[in-house]
Amino acid sequence: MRTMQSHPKQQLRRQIRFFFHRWHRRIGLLAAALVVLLSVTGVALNHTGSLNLDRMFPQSSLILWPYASVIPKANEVQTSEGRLHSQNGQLTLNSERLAPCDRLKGYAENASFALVACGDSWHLFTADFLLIESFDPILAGIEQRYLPGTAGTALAVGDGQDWVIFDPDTLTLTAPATGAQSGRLTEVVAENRAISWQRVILDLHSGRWFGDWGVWMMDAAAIILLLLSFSGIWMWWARPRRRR
Amino acid sequence: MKASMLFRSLVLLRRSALITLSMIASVVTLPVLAANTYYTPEQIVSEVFGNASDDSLEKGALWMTPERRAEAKDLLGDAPRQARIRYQAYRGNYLWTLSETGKEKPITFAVQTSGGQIVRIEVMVFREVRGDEIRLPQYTAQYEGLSLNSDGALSDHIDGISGATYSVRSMKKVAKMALLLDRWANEDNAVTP
Repeated sequence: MRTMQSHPKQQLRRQIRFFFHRWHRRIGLLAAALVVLLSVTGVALNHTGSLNLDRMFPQSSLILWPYASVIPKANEVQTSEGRLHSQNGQLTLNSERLAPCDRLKGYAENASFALVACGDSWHLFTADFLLIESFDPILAGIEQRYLPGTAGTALAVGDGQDWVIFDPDTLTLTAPATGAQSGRLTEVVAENRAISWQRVILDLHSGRWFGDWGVWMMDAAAIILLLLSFSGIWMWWARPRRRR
Repeated sequence: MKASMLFRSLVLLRRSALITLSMIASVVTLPVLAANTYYTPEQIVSEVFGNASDDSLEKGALWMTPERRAEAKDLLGDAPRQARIRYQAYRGNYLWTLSETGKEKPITFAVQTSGGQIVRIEVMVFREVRGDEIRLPQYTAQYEGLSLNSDGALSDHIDGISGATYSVRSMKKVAKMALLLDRWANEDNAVTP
């Protein structure tokens, strides 16, 4: 009778232990990557001085993506007047500053004008690069994916497939254009001397490297580690005393 | 019995955890917010000039001469780099569309001026992460009726907004620039009232 009563209890206990085992493994696997990241970066930070991490600078754009706004970016194009280049928030022609430029994204010129796309602001120049007007592309009806181009002798904007003629006098889009093409930019790698490995590793350690959600991710990792501790304790406690 | 309840609770906990994780995943994958456009050019013209027909609006441009650049630099500490600043006018009212960088991104403003005073100022496109409180009517109302002093300051104090320092600074700068442009436009007699 006693055996009959204890049997379902033991079965239930086994079920619970199995449940904990399964989720302990799953959560452990989830936490493993974060634990490895935290451990490796933590050790590296402890030895910043001896590893010279504060004097070494990563150059990979993949590693530096969260610092895009502070890393000098370099895009350039060879124009009829010289080398048009953007770096450190400035658009330059043969090293002469022309206008603010977040990042040179597109360029086109015809006989009278040059049209330069710098992301959030566009610039219209004379053919010899005197700034006529800077304007907001949104208010000119230019979609974010559009870049400057030329359709015959006219300036145009488009995404490579659809093109519209751009009127430089009114800064408006007029009629659809065919056979337009955009100016080809050259990506120039600018050397990073602003963000050291120490900073990157510190941000990886805190989760900030992954953006605003990274910090939450690390918080979640902490919670997962707590769950692992509890489930581990439970599994240890739930085993028969002789097998602990 | 107690163990059975505990087991059920754990199953429930597992379901809740899965739902929570899927919710977090969906929020994480939300696209980054784009620029906020509060007014299109057509909307602002319609609001500022009311029923004025398109033909009756004057569409002109001021050209930045070296003298004007020097004056702007003297008064405001900075001068627009661009050579042409376009405007629309109707019966002595000018509408200027001007951009100024906030903390990192350009903010585009529309300023209505008349007779050396600000009639209205609005944020048309806002791209910064924070500080868009400057578009609220309670804030923009402070600019109404302001003029430009001889020392380049606005004729009255503008209250700041905590957390929107850069945006406030941009709006003040644009307001001063619009008043200076209004002065030049009137000097040019570009528009016949």
